[in-house]
Amino acid sequence: MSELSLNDADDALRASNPLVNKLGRFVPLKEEERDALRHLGRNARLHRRGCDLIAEGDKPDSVFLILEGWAFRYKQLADGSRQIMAYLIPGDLCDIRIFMFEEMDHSIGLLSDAKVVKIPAAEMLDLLDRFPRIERALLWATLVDESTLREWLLNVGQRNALQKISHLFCELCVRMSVVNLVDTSETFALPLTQNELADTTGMTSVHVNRSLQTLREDGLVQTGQGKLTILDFERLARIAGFSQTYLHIDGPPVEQKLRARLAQPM
Amino acid sequence: MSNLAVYRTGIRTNSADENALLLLVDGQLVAILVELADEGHGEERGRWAVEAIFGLQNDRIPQSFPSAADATAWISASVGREPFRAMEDLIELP
Repeated sequence: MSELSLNDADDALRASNPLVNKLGRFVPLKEEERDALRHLGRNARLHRRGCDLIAEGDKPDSVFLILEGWAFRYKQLADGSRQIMAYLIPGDLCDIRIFMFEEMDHSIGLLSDAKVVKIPAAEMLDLLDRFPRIERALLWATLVDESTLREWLLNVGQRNALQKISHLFCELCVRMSVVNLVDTSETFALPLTQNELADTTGMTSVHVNRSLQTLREDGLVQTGQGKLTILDFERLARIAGFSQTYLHIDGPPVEQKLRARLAQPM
Repeated sequence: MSNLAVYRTGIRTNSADENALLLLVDGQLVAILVELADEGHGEERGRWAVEAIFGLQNDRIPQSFPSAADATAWISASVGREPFRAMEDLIELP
């Protein structure tokens, strides 16, 4: 695994940790809980695009937290065909109890250079024991990962080429905005090649290319230099049939809404 | 004598990729090849890709081929036939 040391090991600690932004959408966090999450980011390392954080068959002994850059989950067939099952963006953790697996059933690779924290199993378990609200927030995050996977399955199996790409772009825009990585012109980093989009959506890269051309010609998106600009989110969402309900990020934190709902007389 | 037949035809892809070849084995359609003519293909432009295949389940399809002859040869090999050699004078379908 290629690793580069950070110039300043405390960078990640001082910088705002995207995990705090993300989990705050699920459970309102107290300052000591925010501090604990920021503390998790203290041993970040820079890894190069193309390397695997962990590969199928490896024995997992820690949890990965992405602070910067993008990672992805994938599985590969013997002939080299690959299916990408998830993108992990800043603030995302691979499964919080991944170390409970005897061995990995899939691989996690990097789509861009990335700043990643490797959290040892013992530290993760200790954190979950000490901060039950963080544990609940991470449970919400896991539920959303699962609902996102269901949405991706629908995408791969049922939507047409243009809808697949449009839906993915809408989702990524919403997810990146949660961690404050979309600028005012609806532009965000999209470190994906056409091949990677093809392996995500189950299309050939020729078909991905044509869909991208159509979206550009219709004035819906702009691409270039590893970035995507969504020029007309509403129209793109209409083409995709995109509704962000499955991301569970609307309004107050979901746990507040849940408590209010449970408190109402039946 | 090969019983692989190749015909030229147009194809609607909503892009500048308008030239296609139909490949038939024993009178049955097995593949549609398309010329990557659209500017959006970048470095792939000018190459040929498999737009669709029928009844082939063996190989992983390469992303593209340098020429129509190469693409046709790959399909021929996939169906266990001699490569189709008369690429110059193909019949054009209406």
